[in-house]
Amino acid sequence: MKNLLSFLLIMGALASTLSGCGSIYSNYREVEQILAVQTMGLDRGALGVRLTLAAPSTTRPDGSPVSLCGDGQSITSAIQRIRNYSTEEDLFCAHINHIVLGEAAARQGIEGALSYICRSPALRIDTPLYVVRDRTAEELISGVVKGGTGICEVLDAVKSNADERGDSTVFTAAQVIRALARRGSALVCALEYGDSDEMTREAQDSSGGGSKTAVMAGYGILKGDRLCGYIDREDAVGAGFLLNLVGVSDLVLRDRDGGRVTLEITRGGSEITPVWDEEDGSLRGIDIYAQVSADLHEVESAEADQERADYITSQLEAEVSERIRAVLQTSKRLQADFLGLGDQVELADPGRYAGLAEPFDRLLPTLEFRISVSGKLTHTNNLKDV
Amino acid sequence: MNAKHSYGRRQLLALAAVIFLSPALRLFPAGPARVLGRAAWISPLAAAPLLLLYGWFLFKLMAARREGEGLADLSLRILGEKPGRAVLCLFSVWLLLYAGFVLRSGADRFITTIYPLSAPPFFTLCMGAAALVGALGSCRSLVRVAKLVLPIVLGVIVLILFFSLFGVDKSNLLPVTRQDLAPVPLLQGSLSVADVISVALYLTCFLAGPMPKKEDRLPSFLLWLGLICLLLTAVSVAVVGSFGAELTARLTRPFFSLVRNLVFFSSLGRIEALVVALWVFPDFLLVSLLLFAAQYCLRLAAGYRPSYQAQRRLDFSGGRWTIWLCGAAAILCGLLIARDPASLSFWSETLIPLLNLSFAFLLLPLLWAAGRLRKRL
Repeated sequence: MKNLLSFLLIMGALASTLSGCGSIYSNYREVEQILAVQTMGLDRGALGVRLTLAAPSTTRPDGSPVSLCGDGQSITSAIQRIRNYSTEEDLFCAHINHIVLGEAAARQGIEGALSYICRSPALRIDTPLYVVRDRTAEELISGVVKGGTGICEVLDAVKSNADERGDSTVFTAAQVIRALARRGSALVCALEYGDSDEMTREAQDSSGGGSKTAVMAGYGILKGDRLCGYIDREDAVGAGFLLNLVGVSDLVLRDRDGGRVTLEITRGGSEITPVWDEEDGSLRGIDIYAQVSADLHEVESAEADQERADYITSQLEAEVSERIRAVLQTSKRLQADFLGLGDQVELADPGRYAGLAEPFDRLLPTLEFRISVSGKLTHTNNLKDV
Repeated sequence: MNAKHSYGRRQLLALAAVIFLSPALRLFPAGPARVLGRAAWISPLAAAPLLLLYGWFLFKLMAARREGEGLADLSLRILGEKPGRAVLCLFSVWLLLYAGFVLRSGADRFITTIYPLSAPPFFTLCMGAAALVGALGSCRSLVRVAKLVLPIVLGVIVLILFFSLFGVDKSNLLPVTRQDLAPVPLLQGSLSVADVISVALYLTCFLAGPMPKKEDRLPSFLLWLGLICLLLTAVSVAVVGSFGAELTARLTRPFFSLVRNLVFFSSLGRIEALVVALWVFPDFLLVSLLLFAAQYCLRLAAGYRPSYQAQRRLDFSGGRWTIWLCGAAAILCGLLIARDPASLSFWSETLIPLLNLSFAFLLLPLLWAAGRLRKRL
């Protein structure tokens, strides 16, 4: 028993040295010496890759955010270059929470970046991935300063908002890799470099004016491993219905008399039924049945009756239908099944799906989509106006 | 066998469960995901009948042992002096090769998960030395360590599986179509499961000597097999459900990638270093067992009377120097084999499973057949 206990003590001590936090074999560092990078930006650079790293303001005694840029032939060599040239503390990349791709880099292909994320022992495969519309990742990461906060805090807020709301979903690198491998296309959360004109006066005042931020701007569409288009923020709600990722999002409609009505979509989703040709077994189209529930938030008109409620509901259904149709049109146009419709068709009828003459994405332009939406006003909040 | 040096069935099955974890999470579920895609999680269930049959066969083989005999003693008795000794030498070579591979593979796990800038020899030497100390002691110590370690390791796995279930996407697992379950891929996936479970089963048979014969019970043996198949199914569901079959098939250690992704209560993350460190125990016990079994076979083949009981570690009498020889051979093997990633993949995914399956499903049945022919079973 004594031997056994001694053995366990030795093994326990050995295990503690293998935890990676500090041992004779690892490069032990004090927390104060570490610059904990939380955001990584990837662009095309003069040498091949232009890398931008950012750490939150809390890592600095003066409370200012940090961003570092460097070129390299690859991501690894760019990190090494930043490490060599910067006067910052030791870079610690194990807590990278956001990876931002510049538009130009994404258009040229992201296979290298995805491969790096998978291989790197520092990064997590489920790190959220973003693409910046019309800008480089460097511009976004270096430019976003909102009061005392930088891109890391802003992207944390973006992610948190996306989790709660339904107009966009933040996809992780693992989800993107999986979608690309399975259906050859994927969605990635798109960001916009928010102009100060878009901000409220109050926010401008508190930040000294002219500050920049990152805002969600729908989705980027990847086909192969290249960015080939976008889904605008308005239509992203339609993508949410088809992906069954509908969260809370607002919708402004017009009443019978032209007054504005603001609804908040609280719940929704869609069911997909493939339509097969009974003679040759080919896929002719897809019936999409969407359901939406919304709360009434703002109404300009004082009129209140059942007819108006029915009218608003029909407008809601038409709006949702239109947004779903717009996303489907994009999918058809690009011949990219980024919505995973093929998976749902397969789920509905695996046997017939396996017998399809062509890959599903190539069939997309020939398919007929029939969309029906069933809407419901669930609450009118504290006024009984319908 | 003196009660002081014996152990029970449950302790031996605990050892089997711990050593099973070493190859299991190296090959699983990436191997079945490569051939079965999203139906990879079916493979442990599909392999269950084959494994239950194998379990029954192994139980029948070991039922012929006498009190105090393990698989090595039984093989010698069945085959007789000359063929028996030759087969024991063959056993020994295979066990040492496997020990060397486990050392090399364990080193690679540390490098790919925690210490990317390191070289394998350091880990190979450290683990080899620790396992040598384990093999120099009594096998009862190994069995008792397994009994102590098993709840910790299983507890960690259950915790990881529970938290990873929240990230499972059912479209990664379903639908499972008839095309997904074509016979050839299903057989390949099942063999991958049979590989990792059978090795744990027959290796523990080498340590069956100190277990009283009255402890031999088929139901608990089969129950263990069933539970292990369920555990593998749960691991597959969690990993393939989280990553999808396409990504799982590409990852070298998908289970540890899953651990790396876990964040508990939005605050605690990056615990993979601790989990990988825990896998020191399965590796240590597996290599120690392999060294113990290899030296036992060698000493038996050389005409010595090896013992399962504890002896002084620096006692070289009775051919105990072979333990040091086996330790050195395993470490040397670990240092020399699979020196690049492609070679390691070949060893891990092709050569070792092939040799292991040959040992489990060819050599041992031949041993049984020889025993029946010679009327020694």
